[in-house]
Amino acid sequence: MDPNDSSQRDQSGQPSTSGMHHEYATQDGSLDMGCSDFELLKRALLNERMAPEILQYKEELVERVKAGLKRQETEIDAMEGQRDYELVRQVLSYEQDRVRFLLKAYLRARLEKIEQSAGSMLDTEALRERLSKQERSYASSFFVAMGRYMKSSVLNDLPPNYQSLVKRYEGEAEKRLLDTPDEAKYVFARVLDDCGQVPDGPDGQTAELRRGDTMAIKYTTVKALVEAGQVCLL
Amino acid sequence: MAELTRRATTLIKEMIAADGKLPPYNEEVVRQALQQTQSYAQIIQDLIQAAQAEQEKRQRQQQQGDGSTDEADAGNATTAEDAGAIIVYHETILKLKRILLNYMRMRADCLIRVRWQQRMLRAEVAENTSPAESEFFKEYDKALNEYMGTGENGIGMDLTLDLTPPKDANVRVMVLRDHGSITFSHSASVPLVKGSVHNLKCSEAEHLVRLGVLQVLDPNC
Repeated sequence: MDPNDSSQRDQSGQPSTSGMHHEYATQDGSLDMGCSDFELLKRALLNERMAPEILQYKEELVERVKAGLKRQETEIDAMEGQRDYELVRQVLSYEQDRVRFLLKAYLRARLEKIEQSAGSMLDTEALRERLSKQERSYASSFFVAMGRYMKSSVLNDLPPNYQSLVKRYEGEAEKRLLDTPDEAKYVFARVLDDCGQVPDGPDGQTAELRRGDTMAIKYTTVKALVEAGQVCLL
Repeated sequence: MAELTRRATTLIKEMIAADGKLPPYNEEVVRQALQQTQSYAQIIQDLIQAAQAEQEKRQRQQQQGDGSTDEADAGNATTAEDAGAIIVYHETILKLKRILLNYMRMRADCLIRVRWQQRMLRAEVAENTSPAESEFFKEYDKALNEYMGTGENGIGMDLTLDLTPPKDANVRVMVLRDHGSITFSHSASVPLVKGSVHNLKCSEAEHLVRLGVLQVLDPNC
């Protein structure tokens, strides 16, 4: 056994099931103590699913989870055939399936959003930065494939002024045919940390967000807070 | 304007009625809609040119000092009608463009679903696609493979697996048709003979269930 690999075994030398976790969440799930990666991944998945726009790619979290999955894979294989560890092996194997599902669901939710509005994502600097390098490359290949398909089946046969993929017709300045998500949609949110007064309405009205509150609210109001991790979507 | 786009709208209705499956590519209606846009564009062109000619004629008359106001008024009336016509045809072209693009997008979404669920373009789906669509499927497949692959732009994971949250690590399956002998990770090689029942790991069985070789007995995973 690698002497530096102390996180995998507890005092008695039995393999522990904390392979996937850094620290456990506290009772009230407060941010301050640092949640387990599992909890963070679940939260990232829910946020991504419920938010109308694509959120910042959680690169470090994904890398950590992938490394953890690989570590657990070798651990499970090592226990293969040892009858004493059969139950532990099964529990670890269940956990691995769950984590793998969460990770893939997170990436799938993002892919779906990319396929919805690839054009506007590639066009807007701010949105482009929220994608991972692989997602950026996928978004442009997807946009090119879709564009080529539209051109060869429809656009090339339209009258000259109407052939643009992104504009309705030449002479209109905005790229009306690119899909942009509706940020004013209402979402369910839970407040993880006190946020104080948050600007909510057109006349300077504010809403008070205290830790533990659950509410239905316009996405635009909580957008920055979700990014910061103070609010999570349900 | 609804009358003018009525035939094109049947394309969308067709896709909605197909409910997820890919109906045959309706080449005829698409071509007719495109021809419509071309002829309307030509009409717009003609109207604009006629209006411009009319404009120039009136300007020349004014310069020559010809004071026949009746003619001038008649000229104005026609221009107003023509302007209305131009707007209607322009909007109709835009609507036809929108209908056609939506039709194509709905079909592309179908193909994307096929890629995620069935991985390949099977014969019964492929015969309903146009050449442009097969091309799109190939390019989409390539883009997705690159994203999920191990290259520089890949994440190294197959996202088409693990589609449902797992309830149990193992699943009981019955073999629907002979598939030879396969070695699974937790046992020796298993002969997949029609009618036999096996206990397999969810992740490995998923692929074969998708292909139709196995059938899940316990709704566990």
